[in-house]
Amino acid sequence: MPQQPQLTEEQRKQLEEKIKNMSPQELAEFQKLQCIFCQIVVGKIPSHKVYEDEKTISLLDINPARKGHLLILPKEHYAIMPQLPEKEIGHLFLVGKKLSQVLLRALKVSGTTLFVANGLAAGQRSQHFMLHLIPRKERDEVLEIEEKIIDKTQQQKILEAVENRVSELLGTKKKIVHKKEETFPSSEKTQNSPALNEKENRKEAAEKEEEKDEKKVELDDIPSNILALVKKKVKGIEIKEIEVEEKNGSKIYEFEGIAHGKDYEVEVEVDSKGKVKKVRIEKDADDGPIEENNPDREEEKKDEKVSLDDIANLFK
Amino acid sequence: MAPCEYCEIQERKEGIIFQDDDIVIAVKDKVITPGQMTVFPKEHFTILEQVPENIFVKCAVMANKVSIAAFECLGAQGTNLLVRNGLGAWQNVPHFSIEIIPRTEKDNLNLQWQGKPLAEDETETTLKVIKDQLESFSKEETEKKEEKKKSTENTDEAAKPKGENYLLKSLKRIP
Repeated sequence: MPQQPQLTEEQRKQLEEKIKNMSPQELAEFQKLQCIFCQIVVGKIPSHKVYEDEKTISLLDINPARKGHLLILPKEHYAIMPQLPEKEIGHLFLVGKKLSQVLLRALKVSGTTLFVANGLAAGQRSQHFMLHLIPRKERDEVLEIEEKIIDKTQQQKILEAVENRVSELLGTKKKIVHKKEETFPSSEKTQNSPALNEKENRKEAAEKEEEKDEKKVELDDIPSNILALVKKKVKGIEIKEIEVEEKNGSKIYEFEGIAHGKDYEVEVEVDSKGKVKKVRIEKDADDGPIEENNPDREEEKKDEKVSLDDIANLFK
Repeated sequence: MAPCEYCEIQERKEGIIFQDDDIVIAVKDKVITPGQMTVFPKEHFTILEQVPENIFVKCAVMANKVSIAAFECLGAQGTNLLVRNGLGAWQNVPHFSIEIIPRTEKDNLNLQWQGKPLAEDETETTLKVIKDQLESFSKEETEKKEEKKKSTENTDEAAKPKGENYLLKSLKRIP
């Protein structure tokens, strides 16, 4: 891949200043100019295109693992997979499935690999999200994988760490509580016992009382910069519920979550342009606000725990 | 027939993070790195080509969500999604799945390849071969869809793409 031209310290500062003052739209446009693949999408940089449709473009990798190595990209610029709308993910993967069949026949190979790298740590080499489709022949030294067995305790730990969040993301809000003996019902759906259901119902009823003109929203609907801000202000927060209220042209996002075993409430007020005006943090409802301020827009992100947006932003 | 690891997971009900009528999300025990998870259809499809589109899309969307959970709950700084399709791709479980692998900067996992540019003429030939095949494949697909529209009774056998049997046969060799 061609190298970006090196900037002097002065030039870099000027550029940073320029970026800070850009509107979200200008920023998106700027990003596209910096992205080689966005340039390929609009035809400004040539490529060996194999297939194209309204949403995606597929081309030969110029530095392939093997002959026929394809890159399948969304035309829209996304840095990592979690940023893609579900529909686009589905469409992209279906293109992958089709092209996989085509490669099997065209190149008479005995397998294909579909591969995604989200984040530098996962080997992501480009700032534009893509699906790799690699035709494979046995012992071709591509993605040589060594496997090992992990014990049941470790497996169980991992399961317990992720399952609530997965349930949340899948919209099956029920919290799974672990007891010493297995209590999952034998039916296919892992919904909880009636006792837990009742508790959930009571909680939901109480929350409904508070709702009024606040609207519940999903994590996916929240602009990524706001989410990043919340996660930065309350490190390690697990967001349980989000509500948004419109007031005098501004939007107030209310995040409820748990961090280090304590309940937190974070309120973020955003003006009509999407700029954050105010942040209010409340810990354990009784304690009252512990932080109320106007945050800076661009700050150095030196968190110990890396957030999704940090990973995406590495490519900005 | 040799036991299938993923069908067994369903039977033993171990390590299951989530399941519904179509798919299962589970923690793997044979892993590249601890925290590796897998999303697979309940029905036993061996290779990608056999998986119905709606199920595959569901797996992909779920895999993305599992990936997000890996970022947020397992301290992952990156994730890989991997489909090993066919023997040539080191598919070691004869049951289609999408694997999610949590990554950190210092995990020293060698999940990559050495890229090497092709010669100009090889690129041209490869491009042509793929495009030609894509064209005939697309024609087939359109014809099949029209057939399906005409006939109301259509079994799964008829809908399966031809030419994949050799791949299936090679997979049956997996112990």
